[in-house]
Amino acid sequence: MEDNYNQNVFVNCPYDNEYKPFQQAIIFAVVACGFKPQLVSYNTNGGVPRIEKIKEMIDGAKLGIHDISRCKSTMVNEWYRLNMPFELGLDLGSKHFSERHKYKNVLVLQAEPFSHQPSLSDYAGFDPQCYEGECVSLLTIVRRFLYSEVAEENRDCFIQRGKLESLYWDFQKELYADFGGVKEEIDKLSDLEYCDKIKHYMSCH
Amino acid sequence: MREIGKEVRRFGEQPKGKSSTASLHVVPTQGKWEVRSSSATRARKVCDTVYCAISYARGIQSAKGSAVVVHERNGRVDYIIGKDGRQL
Repeated sequence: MEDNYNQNVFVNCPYDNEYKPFQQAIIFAVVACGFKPQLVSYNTNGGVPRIEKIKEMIDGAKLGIHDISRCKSTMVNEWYRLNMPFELGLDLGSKHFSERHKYKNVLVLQAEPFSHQPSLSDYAGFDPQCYEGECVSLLTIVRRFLYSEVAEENRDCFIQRGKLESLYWDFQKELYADFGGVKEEIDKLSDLEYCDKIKHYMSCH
Repeated sequence: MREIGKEVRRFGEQPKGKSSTASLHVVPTQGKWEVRSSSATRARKVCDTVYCAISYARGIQSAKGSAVVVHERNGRVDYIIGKDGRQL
């Protein structure tokens, strides 16, 4: 894992069906930009506590993408989710308390502007990126974040925004056709399977 | 069971011996709808409504024979309009 430290991107986002398309868009953008997504769900070892898996991922990745959209409940009696801010805190903590991680870079996402402020007031002053619940914006934000991590001499070869979007639309079409248009079947893909499909798709294009 | 002699195409690969026809994607962007060709990096047209975008895409479709792919805001495919105008 140490070898890929600079390319590894820890992805911390909600795990629910409504969010799944956005999670998959993040994974697609990370792979298409030449980086390696790291999700806790990749590690299915039931003998390791979840927090240990998270720590391992954070320790092995220079970059982190955190979506804190679920800080706000949307229905009566719905609990807002604290896992994402918790993991963001761990990632930021590692940067501040460890010499090895002092150059860590994180991208914080939210679906609605300023939605985190009432529940995460200590995070004030930072600059979460808002994608307005739209996939196109999400692809653009993730690409922009990763672009800044590429050495200046290699930026000419970095995937263009329009190309990334076109590839993504075509990939979604392939996926739709592959599963006979049954969206529920696409949701059942594990994160690792999905990532492998992206890698294969990118190798063909 | 696979049919003998039938081409097996892996995910993402182009069919062998066939030139690919670029699809037309109808994509929601910042409250509007873009029509994009999969081979292009820019929108062909930006419309205020999805109906306008689909209508424009269908116009190109009839000339080029490409599929029209309508996307949801989350990026997923909502439905595909085939060359014969039927929803797939």
